[in-house]
Amino acid sequence: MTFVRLDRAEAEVSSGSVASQNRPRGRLRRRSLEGPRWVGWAFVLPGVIGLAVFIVIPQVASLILGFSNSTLLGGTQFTGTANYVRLLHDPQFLNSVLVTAIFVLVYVPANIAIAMAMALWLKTRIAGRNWLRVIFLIPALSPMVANAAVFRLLFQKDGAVNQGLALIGIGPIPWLSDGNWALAVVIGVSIWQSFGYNMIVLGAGLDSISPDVIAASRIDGAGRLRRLFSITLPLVSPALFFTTVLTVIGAWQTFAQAYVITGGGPGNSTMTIMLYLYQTAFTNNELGYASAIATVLFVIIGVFTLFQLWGQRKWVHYD
Amino acid sequence: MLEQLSVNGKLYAIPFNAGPNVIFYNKKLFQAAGAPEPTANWTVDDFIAAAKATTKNGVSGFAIGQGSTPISTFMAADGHPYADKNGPKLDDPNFRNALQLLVDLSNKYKVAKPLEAAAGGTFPDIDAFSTGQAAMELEGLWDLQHEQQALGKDNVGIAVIPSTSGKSKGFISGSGFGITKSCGDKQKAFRAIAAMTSKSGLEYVTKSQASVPARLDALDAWSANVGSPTFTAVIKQMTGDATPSPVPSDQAQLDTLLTQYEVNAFSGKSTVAEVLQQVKAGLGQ
Repeated sequence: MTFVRLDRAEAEVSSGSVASQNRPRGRLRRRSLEGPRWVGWAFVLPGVIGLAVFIVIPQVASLILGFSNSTLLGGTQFTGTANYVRLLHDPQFLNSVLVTAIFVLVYVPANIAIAMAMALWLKTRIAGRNWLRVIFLIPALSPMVANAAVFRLLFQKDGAVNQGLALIGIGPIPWLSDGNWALAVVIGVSIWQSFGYNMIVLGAGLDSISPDVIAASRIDGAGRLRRLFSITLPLVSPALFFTTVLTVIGAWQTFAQAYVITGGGPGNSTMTIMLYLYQTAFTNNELGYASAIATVLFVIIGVFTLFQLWGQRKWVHYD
Repeated sequence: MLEQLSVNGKLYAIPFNAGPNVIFYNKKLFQAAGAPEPTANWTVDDFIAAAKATTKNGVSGFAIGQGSTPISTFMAADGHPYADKNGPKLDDPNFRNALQLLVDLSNKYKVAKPLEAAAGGTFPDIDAFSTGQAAMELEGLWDLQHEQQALGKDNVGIAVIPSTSGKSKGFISGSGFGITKSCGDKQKAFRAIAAMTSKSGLEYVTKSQASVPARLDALDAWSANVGSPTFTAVIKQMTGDATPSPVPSDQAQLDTLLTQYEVNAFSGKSTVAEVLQQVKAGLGQ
């Protein structure tokens, strides 16, 4: 996989530095870009309609609903900012923000670190590395609901995990009856499920590093660690940036793992923002309030993503 | 039942099936343990004794269900409704005692697995019973056919809910049919409902479905087609003398919150009273 900064690529194309030397400049290229304007629109129209119907309109509707007391059974009254005032004083919501923040703080670094370590390991010349890649990607391909049923059996009080730990004299650990352990299980299962995808992306980033650069650094006398931190990581930083942004967004939106393994419990120790949103909308029937939660979550994710986009210039190298 | 299908005293639907909750028990496991089968007037103490006797070799005597159903059913057996027009009665000592009984079954008598965090809408208790890992479960009769398929038709017994007094009353969670405001042809819909809920209509349904008809006069057909005459006695007792209770409008929320918080009572993190206060706070009562 190659990562290209679009603005630079465009500049290079228009200045001609990328264009083929032998091709007669001008005629061929220009003709393909000409034609009536509507042709361009005709090509993007299906995409635009899909975007409008499935993304923009629901987003706007949700934003508007957030200012109402709408319920599933109908009947909508606009209540101004009442929902947002209530959010600030809702201990259940504030708890869900805390739970999700802990999730993000533990899950994202662990996920990226494990994915990076595995990608580096699979870069070495071990036998069957392609098979190993597939095996590690399998959790990402298997449905979470089915996984969760298995994990519940593994982690229940007399489940296989505690039986295994008992053999070495540990436990039993209250995986699913203690709040902190339950959150640990949810985070652990989430990492197990998704590190394979990041591993593939980072692995592709590693593969695109020119062997010449590594060889040159060896000749210059760089040791293993030095090579990793001064050569490999900077060169793979675009892939790292890409995986980090997507993983952070996914982490704030965590829902399925908590929903199917713990249902948010014990108590509300694994109640993520998305799960609370779901319960508010479809158990408590409060669509308006749930929409306000959705808007807040959207803002949180937006702020984090913008922060990362702003921060990338400090550590991401595109050339 | 008519009361459950009413809002503010107005009937909105006609009862179709009456699914009284009963105790399902695994006859083979009872025989193997030498435990006497439940009687029509067994008490909670008898129930605990039976659960103790059948708890062995990795089998639990009883499998506890999540949420409000076991609580409301044990309360109803002694004639206490779990809710009134103001919602679930979380401050009622009988509510507390019912949840305490469930916790004691696990922690004090060691005859059931403790409840652990689990997703709503999953039924570890049913799974445990239908795979022979528990000798008893408390469930609606709608589950009868499934359990008979899993464990063998002659291996599944049903019994009334044990009560403190020995005179058990039933808890009915059934369903009915109503007509919506926006229905296109209300007359036709009404005729269809009238046919489905008539004696002959309900008798016909018993041929293919295990749900218990809401009309007492169709019960004989049910016991002939689905159950057995011995089942009929249990059903008659549970439906004939049931504890009436309204269904609170926040029932779904009650079940979700109980499922989340009751785990803390089993793990010893909170007392039963604290759990009910947390549920109450969650309901915004």
